[in-house]
Amino acid sequence: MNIPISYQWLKSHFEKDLPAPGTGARQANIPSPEEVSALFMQHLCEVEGVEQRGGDTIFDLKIMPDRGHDLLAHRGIAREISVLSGMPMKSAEAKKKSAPRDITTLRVSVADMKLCPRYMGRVVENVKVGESPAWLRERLESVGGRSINNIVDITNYVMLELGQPMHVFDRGKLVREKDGAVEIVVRNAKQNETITTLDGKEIVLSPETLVIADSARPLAIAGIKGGKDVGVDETTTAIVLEAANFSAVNTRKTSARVGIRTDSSRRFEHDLSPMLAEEAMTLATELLLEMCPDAQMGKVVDVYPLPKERKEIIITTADINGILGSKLSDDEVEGVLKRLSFEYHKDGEMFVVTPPAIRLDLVIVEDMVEEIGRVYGYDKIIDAPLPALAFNARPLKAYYSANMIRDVLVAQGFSEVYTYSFQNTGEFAVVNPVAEDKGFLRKDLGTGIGQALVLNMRNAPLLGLDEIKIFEIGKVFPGVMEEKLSCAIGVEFIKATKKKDALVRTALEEAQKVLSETLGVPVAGVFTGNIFEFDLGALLEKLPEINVREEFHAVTARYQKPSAYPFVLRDIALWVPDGVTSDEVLAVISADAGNLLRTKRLFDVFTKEFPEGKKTSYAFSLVFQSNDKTLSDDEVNGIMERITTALHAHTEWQVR
Amino acid sequence: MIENSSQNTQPGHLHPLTQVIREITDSFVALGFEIADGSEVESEHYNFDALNVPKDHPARDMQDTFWLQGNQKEQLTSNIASRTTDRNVGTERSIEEELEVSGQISNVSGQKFLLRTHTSAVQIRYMEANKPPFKIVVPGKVYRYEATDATHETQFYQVEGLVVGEGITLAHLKHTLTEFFTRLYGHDTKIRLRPSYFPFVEPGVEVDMSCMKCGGNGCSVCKQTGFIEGLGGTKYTGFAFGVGVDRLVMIRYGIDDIRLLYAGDLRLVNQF
Repeated sequence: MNIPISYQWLKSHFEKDLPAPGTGARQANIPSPEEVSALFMQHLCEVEGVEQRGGDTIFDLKIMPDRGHDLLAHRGIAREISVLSGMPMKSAEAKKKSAPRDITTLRVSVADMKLCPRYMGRVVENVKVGESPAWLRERLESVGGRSINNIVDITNYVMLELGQPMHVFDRGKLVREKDGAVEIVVRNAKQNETITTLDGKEIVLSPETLVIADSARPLAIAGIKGGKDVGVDETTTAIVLEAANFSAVNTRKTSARVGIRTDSSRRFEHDLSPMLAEEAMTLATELLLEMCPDAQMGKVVDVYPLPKERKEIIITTADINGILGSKLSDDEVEGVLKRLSFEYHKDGEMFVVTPPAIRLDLVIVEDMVEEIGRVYGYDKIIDAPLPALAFNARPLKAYYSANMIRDVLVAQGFSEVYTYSFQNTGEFAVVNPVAEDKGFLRKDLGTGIGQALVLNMRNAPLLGLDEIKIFEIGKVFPGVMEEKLSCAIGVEFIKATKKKDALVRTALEEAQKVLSETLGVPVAGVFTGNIFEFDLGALLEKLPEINVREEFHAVTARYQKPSAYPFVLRDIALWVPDGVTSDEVLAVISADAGNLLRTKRLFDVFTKEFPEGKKTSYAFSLVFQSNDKTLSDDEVNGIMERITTALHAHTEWQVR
Repeated sequence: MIENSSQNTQPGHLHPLTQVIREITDSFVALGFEIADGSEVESEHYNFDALNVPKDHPARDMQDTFWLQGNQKEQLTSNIASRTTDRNVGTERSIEEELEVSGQISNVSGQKFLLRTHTSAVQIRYMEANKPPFKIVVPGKVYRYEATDATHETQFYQVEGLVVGEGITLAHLKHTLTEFFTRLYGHDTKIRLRPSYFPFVEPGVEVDMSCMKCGGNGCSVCKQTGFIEGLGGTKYTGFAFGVGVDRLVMIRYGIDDIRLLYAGDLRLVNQF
């Protein structure tokens, strides 16, 4: 998952100016954006974009699924900068705390702790909804967010800072029980219960969906989206803050089922540590007090029946070097663990490491090796040639035979095409096609080859071809759960003559014959019009084992993009005295044709006796095309006149 | 400019994807690798579960999938029978045995089939049928469910590799890939390993190689980074890696739209 990360926001996690180690001179607090990018690419993740926005730099980071627990947040990324650069993070400031007041009672019950391992709630009264301070608006906007009001902004800020999604309800809109308390129930929805989400979408819920409810109705789809009629607005004076932990799998399933994905659901899908809820509640409370100094805080209700235990991972330096092929010393391993600020102790050879609660990705020895390796730096690992393995590679018949067929066909003048596996008809259907006309897997190659013949026929003059000869080798799917390797060959002639069909058939039969001779087994297949297709998979079984063939080298070429504009075809024929070659004539044509001449081709030659001597007639077809526009007749006529004039400069040459 | 005579006996052209796949594959064969292949229709088990990509996990988002219709038991049988005749997969098994191996016996009709999103299933099957040590290279067509544009296609080609043996390390992966890229692109090619995530290999690393166009100084092809991506990873006794062929072809020949590779258009093919 990609997230935008603000450089200025990261910077706020470090002291403004620090003395550089050893010198006492002041220096910038963290590495420059360029250095940060380089550190991340080397040690952490792909930096897919770096954009200057205002006075800030915004990184687009591609966070891998295993680091979604801690890196979908600015604090997690700042921690990485600290680990990778050695710069210490600012220690948390002691913030003003407010003793809990005896205000509205909150009761929370959680029906299934598997779906909701932790739920923390707190009533806050006497809040004043209004605009957020400038710093908060800037923070949110820097990473593409939108300021709504101070209360909602705080919950969004906490999510972007810590990675823990929060939610807030307007207490005034919740049902009050007989004793005046508010009751929050985390339960599965009842059949056909409905909720209208904050963005006005009405959703009919089913019993698999976890909801946050009061005693009357669902208030939110847990971890995904809040309900509209309990949202905070300008009239709100009291709220219920939620910082909870929801099951990753259930959140993902529900999100897919109701068709809503949010920044919140995406984070829960990555499985968050229940520890984060606590930190989020603390931070949100501090920010609320900063913005609404008169707010009255209720007690935090914390339903967390089974606190998650942190597990130890035991590794040795030998484990690490054995997997990485590195030569780390115990001291170096210890140095990395210190940089990571991981809890550990040494027990003889063993490092007993207890990863931070938030790092749910670190479970087994290999996880720790990877963590230590990436921080240490893969660039420091020295290449080593593979040891000799007791292994004899066997040649794969399918690979070499298919390539042999390709080479035979190419030698026969056929060019290889690749077409699409998805088509609008077939036998084997795709559940989720990308488009209506791509609903099936191809049942044969012939269909695609037929389309390619039509396409290439249109461009034949441009290609300088009299006939289109193509083939494809690939998998086809002739029935449900059926897959086989097929080869199809197609031929089409440009000139429409009476004999065309017979010529096509002859060309296809010739290809079939050459293949049969080369392979040493008869190649049987189906002729359909201008296409011959055969079951290559079945044929392979009849072929003898084959030896490794000579190493293939791809051509060196630079691709020229075909023009998007139509081409114009013109023929020119002329008499020249016997002995003048077609190349001489072509040279004259080329010299005067200009850069719009794409293809020139001799298509007819004959000689004839004249009273003044023997003469040769050459007929050329010329194709003109521009990369920038559709050529007009006038333009092409102009070029043809120039060519004619140039040809007539040779007194004995006569354009017919 | 194309020049042509009226005789039509001149050879045709091999598609650039074929050319580059053959060059890569043959290059690994020259390094002692065996080629393995498998089917494009794959079970959810082999495509995801056996690779430790859990159900309902965000890791599956990286590989949006085409699912296939029809999962009747008799239909399954024919597929698995045809698949197990592949020599690299080993002896034929009945569907029950197959499903027993994969832990799906109790849930025959629940097994879902898809178009493979990578060729890693071939490696899994190879490992089931062959004892280490081995070195294999797996070229093949894969599918991803995504919107197409100039750099994204629903079908494309990968070459993956797997080396399993005693004491195989990340240092060996580094060496092997350096050797491979050097064979393909010359002596100045440098590679860089970057942390990444592949559910079945640890450490999971992506491989950047220095761009052959600019030699690592940064150019339009490598988006100014000086490095071009491949990917790879290592596990206990071996390592795996993968290279997207389409991207290599596009960079090598300066093709600006991946869709042109599948258009059946000789205006492209006949340039190679």
